[in-house]
Amino acid sequence: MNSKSVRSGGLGQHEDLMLILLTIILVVFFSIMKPSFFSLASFASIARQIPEIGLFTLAMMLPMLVGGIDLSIIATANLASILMGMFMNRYIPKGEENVPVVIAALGIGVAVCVLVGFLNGVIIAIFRIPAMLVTLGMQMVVTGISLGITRGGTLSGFPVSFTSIGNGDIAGIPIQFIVFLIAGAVLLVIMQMTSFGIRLKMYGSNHTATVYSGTNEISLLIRTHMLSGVYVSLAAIIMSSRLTSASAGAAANYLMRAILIAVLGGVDPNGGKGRVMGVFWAVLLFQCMATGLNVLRVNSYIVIALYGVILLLSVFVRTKRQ
Amino acid sequence: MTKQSSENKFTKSYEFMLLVVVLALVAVLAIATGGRSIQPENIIDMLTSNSAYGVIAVGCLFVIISGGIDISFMAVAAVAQYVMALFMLNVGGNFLFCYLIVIVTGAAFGFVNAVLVNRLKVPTMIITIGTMNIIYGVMMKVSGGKRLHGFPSWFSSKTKLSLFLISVGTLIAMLAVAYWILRKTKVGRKIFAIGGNMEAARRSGINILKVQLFVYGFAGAAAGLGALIKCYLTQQASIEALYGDEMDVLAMVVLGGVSLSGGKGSVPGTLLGILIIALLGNGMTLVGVSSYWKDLVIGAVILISFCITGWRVIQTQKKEKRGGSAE
Repeated sequence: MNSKSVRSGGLGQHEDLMLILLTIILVVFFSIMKPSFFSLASFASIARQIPEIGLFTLAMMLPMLVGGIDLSIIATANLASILMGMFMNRYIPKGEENVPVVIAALGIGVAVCVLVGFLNGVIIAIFRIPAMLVTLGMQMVVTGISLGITRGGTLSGFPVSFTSIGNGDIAGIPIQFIVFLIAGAVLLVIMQMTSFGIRLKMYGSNHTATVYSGTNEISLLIRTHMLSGVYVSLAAIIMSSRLTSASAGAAANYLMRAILIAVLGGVDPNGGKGRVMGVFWAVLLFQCMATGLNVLRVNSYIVIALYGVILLLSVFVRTKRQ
Repeated sequence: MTKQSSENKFTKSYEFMLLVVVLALVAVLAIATGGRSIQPENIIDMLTSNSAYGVIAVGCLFVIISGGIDISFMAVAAVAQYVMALFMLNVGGNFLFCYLIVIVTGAAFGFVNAVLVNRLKVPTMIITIGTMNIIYGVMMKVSGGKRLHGFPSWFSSKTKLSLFLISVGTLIAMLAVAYWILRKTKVGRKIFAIGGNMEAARRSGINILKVQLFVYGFAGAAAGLGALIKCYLTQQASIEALYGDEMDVLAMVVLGGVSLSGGKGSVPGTLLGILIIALLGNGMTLVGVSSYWKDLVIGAVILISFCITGWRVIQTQKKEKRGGSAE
């Protein structure tokens, strides 16, 4: 176990290099195929789209590290967006601005996501039901609430102080990209420097040993899912402010992408392995590819199939290495 | 689970609890709708419209007992449906051909899943998400998203009897076959064995790949059969008709008592799971609850059933511990 973990440290940097190399190759390839790809506009669009999917992937990585998965993240983000939108539309008249109300709305968004994470964690940890099944059920419940309160409709007309989170920039850098970098850095610190982060990874690689070494399994799992909820809420805020709308069915295709990027970035679906930096480089690679395929006008269904192939390929490569 | 289970054990089993829930649901709905829900016509309607997903659920049951989960079944079903529809439109044939085509097509995709699951050491869900996306993406491109309809008269002229036979008849046959396989055959015991402890099963000489080929092939064939029923009911075939309803099927299986990590699950349980989902859907329509709340109700029922199942397991473990220390 010891020598393996030492090796995986070296392997991690090796994998990062591979991802960066692949990204460069892709950028060069797309630039040759379509010179207009190599422009400030397309990199700005990549920088605007990375944060959402990146935060969703980090939210997916946490439960995967303990050997679980969270299928409810997108549904939860949509519910949070809807509740934030309803709150703002109710207390801020159209066309006016009211920053305290917007901040309160953001608080509601975070609270909802953390609460859903808490419930997921409780059912998984206390009743010992596989995370996949629990979050599947939770996804139905949360989507059901969203559909019920919106009657299947779409909310819009949010104040500018809210929508500027996902559309504004500071010194040319999109605000959401700054949020993503800070959130990623915080998670990096949590994972490497706190006992919680280290126990979390330990628990993923060997449940029994971690419990015998004096870790409260139930509290660890619940806290993991609550932390995942925080990242879901950040993604929800950025997503709804960028789209300036909220609905029960938004961003449904992000779920598969988050799993794909997590696996691409070296997160082991069996638990125990996965790094924030790996996810970061994988998001960059993925978004360059997605934007490039879009610029090349590749059929969107072929893109879906391609994502499936990449998922299986990266799993295959990983299995071979082991 | 064997014959020694006494009557006392039966009343304490998960299936008995489900049976009570089903009966309670029937009673409550009958009162709430003033008896409309228990009229034969409504019951036949309800069974007919739920049998397609019921058949698919039986296939999923096998996968879940073997310790995996398959998300790609709806994509597989859609392909089988499309191939069958193309065959009918271009060649003709009869019902026997239809059944053969969907079974073979479904099983073929199942075999691909099985090989991937066997070779790649990651949770089966990740793998089947991959195959699902590939199948869906390629089929949407190939078919151009077109809906196929206008089938030959032997397929499109529905009578009440043929409708009932094709839908509910297939479901009953499927349940019977599944029950027989799981309870009476060697391969059935092997499925439970690899779901309970794959390493132990391997060391006791079970060829894991063979069992997985059977399990995923069976699930694929079941998905194909479900697609045939759906096509017969709606008289059209399209790739998008089934895609996206994965949760409705998984809900049936999960409610049927497979909730605890592989090696467990039964055909009667799944039948009751199918009935609960059917009753809930039908009941909400009759009572006049907006369909927007459907997901919430079914999801909540699933989560509550998890909590009850988990709580019961914890209680029995506690009891065993106490019993052990007393001795």
